[in-house]
Amino acid sequence: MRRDHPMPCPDRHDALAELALGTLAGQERSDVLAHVARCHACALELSELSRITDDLLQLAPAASPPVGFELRVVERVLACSTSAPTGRPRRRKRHRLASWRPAAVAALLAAVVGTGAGLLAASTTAGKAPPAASRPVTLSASLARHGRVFGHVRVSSGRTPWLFVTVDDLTGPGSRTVICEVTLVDGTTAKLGRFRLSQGYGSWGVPLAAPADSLRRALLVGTDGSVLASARI
Amino acid sequence: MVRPRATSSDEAPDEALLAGMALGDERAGVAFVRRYQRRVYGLALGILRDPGMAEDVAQDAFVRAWTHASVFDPRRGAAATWLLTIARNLSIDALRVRRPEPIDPGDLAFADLASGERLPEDAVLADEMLARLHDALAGIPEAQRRAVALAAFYGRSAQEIAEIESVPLGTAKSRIRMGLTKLRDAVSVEEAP
Ligand SMILES: [Zn+2]
Repeated sequence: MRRDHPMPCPDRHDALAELALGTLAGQERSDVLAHVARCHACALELSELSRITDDLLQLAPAASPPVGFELRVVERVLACSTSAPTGRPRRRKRHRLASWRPAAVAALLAAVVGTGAGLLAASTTAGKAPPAASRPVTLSASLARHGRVFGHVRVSSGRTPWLFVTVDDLTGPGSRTVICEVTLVDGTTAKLGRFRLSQGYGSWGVPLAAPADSLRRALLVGTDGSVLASARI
Repeated sequence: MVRPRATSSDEAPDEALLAGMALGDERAGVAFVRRYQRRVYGLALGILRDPGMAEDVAQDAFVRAWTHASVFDPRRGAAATWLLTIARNLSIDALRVRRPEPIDPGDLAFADLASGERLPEDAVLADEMLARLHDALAGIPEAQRRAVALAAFYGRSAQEIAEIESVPLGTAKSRIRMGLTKLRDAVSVEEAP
């Protein structure tokens, strides 16, 4: 066999493949994520399988878009960034990211995971486990509101600190977008990004540019600004 | 792939274009769109099977990539992967919202990826790893290939695949796992030193 590393746990192997493909949700997903966080063999397998699923997308046959495609993209980008110098786009609904970078929190704001698992298009159907899942998790806190637990926030230390959020049952039909905010020990807040919940479930991760121990609280906020749940880290 | 000494935006590495886009460099953005529009649109079209929807989704993908270029982190993966993953996720969302009909397994654009009838971009097949993956797809059993394609391109869960293919859930799960691990083995066997 080619394998020069330990075999993944047989009873987790199916779930690892599904997680790599981004099609695992809910409890199954939380379970295998938690397992991967402490099982090196499974973490390795997950990262290898995730790479294959990434590469599969590159095999999609190419096709020429209608004439004028690039022009229309440019027009749309310009339309939402004409007031750009202050980093405050006009069409906030769709492109709020720039406004999430006030100087006070610039140090915190992080890069989004390259596989797309993060900010950009995260959804329960498609989000993948962040690579950090294989690193030791140093902090974990329940996401709760009025005493009810809706999921967990985990912050891993290491060279690249990570925050990841698992939402297990934030009730509500259909899909909805939630925003993840954090409060730092110095009292400043930062919006780290947004992700999608499907039928109340979802998970999302983001690398942090600030040390893990500088976080005090994490909040899940609805797109209308209402606080849905919070975690004291 | 290293592209040293880039002299213009058409030759610049993806990461440099994204950095330019983050700074508001329109030329960098146009070069980036040009470089990937056929692949992004092709992916969306394959998933959605509708040129109008595919264009909308492909545009959304580029607009997102552009407006989020400042947070792209090359250490976490290639720009092409990042962009195509955005396009794939948006396509799946659009598919679920606008066309909730079950997929006819005979109608899967991507189940026959390995048939050779429709090929990826030349540049993709020039990448040795991707060329091997393309070949490996032809070598795995059709049922496993379809299971992997349904999950990878259409975001279908094991349960949904079981329903589409009229097989027990356990069968769907093992097809997914076996298909994917075989692809991985085929690709990495020759990578070992
Ligand atoms: Zn394990």
